[in-house]
Amino acid sequence: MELANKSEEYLLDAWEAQRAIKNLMGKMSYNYIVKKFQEIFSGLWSSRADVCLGVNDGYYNGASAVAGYYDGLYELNALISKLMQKAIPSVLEDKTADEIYGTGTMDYKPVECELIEVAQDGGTAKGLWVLRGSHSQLTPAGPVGYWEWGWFAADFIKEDGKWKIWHLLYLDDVCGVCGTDWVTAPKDLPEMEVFEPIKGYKLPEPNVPVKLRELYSPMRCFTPPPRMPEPYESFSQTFSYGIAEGETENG
Amino acid sequence: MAESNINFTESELLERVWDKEKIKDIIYRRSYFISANRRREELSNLWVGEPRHLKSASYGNNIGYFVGIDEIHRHCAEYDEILYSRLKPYSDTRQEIDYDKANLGFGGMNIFSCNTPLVFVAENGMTAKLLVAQYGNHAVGAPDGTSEVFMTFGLVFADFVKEGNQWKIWHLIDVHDFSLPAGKDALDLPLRPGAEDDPIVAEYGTPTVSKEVYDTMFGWEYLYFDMPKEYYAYDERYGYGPNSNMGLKYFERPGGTRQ
Repeated sequence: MELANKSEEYLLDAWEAQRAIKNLMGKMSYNYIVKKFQEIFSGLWSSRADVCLGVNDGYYNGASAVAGYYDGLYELNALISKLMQKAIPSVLEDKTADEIYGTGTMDYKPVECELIEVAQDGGTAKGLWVLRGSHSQLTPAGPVGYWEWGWFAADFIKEDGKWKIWHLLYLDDVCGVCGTDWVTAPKDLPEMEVFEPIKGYKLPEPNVPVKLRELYSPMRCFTPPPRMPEPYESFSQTFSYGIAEGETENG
Repeated sequence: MAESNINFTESELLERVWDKEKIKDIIYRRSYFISANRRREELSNLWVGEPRHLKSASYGNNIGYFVGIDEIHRHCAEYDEILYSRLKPYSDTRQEIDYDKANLGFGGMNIFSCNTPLVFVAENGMTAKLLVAQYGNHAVGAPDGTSEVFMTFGLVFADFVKEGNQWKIWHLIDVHDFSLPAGKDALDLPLRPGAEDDPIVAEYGTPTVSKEVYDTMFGWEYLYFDMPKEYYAYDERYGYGPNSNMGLKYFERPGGTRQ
């Protein structure tokens, strides 16, 4: 940010804006841990129609698609908990669906190494973070642990005095099974009948399928991090982390 | 003395708050430049540029210091040679991969991330000191589809100096602890990994001044004395350049048990 010759009030507002954005990303990260996915969208995302979430395999473009992604994560976790209840009846069988929600897997997405630029006009901001996480997924063989390395890059917008996520890139370089070299396919584990229903569950696909990033492999071209935010006056004068111009729902 | 006990005006305190934010921004931005293999841009954008600082700028690692901005650029060239040597197996066996600068880093991955910043701005406002933990991953691939992927652990110590109204990196040390190969038992690792075991060690290069800056055998307790703390003005003995106490074991420091 360009801060030379700015008033004390401006400097304080800019510092508060950075702090609020750090808190926003922190809340998002902690909501992943406690699996409050629907609260990520309803509480942290902008109410604009042109919100956009980009992942390795494409964009969830528009409010309905982004909300659908987080709804899908909620439904997946509800299914996981139900299957865990069947797998461990001695501990879980007398509990309600609400009481067991979240059982079985974990999802840590700590964010660090932040670069935050607040626009000179104070209406928008951009940020880039390293994601250094770990999570477990339920497979037909039971829960399996993963290391996750990637990036969050976001445009933020101020609405009614509060900062909200406008466009978000959530891109992985590594999603490797713990105990492996991260590039060799892990050996098949024996499946358990109680977990078979997980095979049938698929998260909603991006409604704009386009390869935004390949996971690391020894045959991947060198792939740098997402573009760093740079100081800017107003949003029209900077680049967007949202869907690129010319990309449509038909790809 | 705690910063709050010093008679800064409110305006000065606000300026110092932003000084710390700008310094953190620089070290985080450095991480992204390094992760993107844009080391020369890292130097031109983030490091000192005024003639009075160029000769005393230094970049250090476990085995010594590159002293002067030209020497740090030489280290960038050494690193490029390593990338070319890692590209060669690909271009020798795969027609579609040219032995060309555009393909440097093919099959590799570098993520250097910083966290847990400790920042102190000198009371006189002209310099600053920083310590961050640096975690990363580092991969070197091969055309047969295999790869050696490592999680890396270390620290970054840095002196910053003000040039005009901009903060710039003046001295920086990448302290490397170890690289942990993904999927392998840590107990199987060599006690003292060499360049053949650890890609970060392979990238140390040939420093201008050889010096034991960090000995992984003794861990971090020797670095306690080098942690940034509140200070009035820069003193090279307590900074992070080649003439500092950095790396001296506590019993070798002035006043230590072996003095």
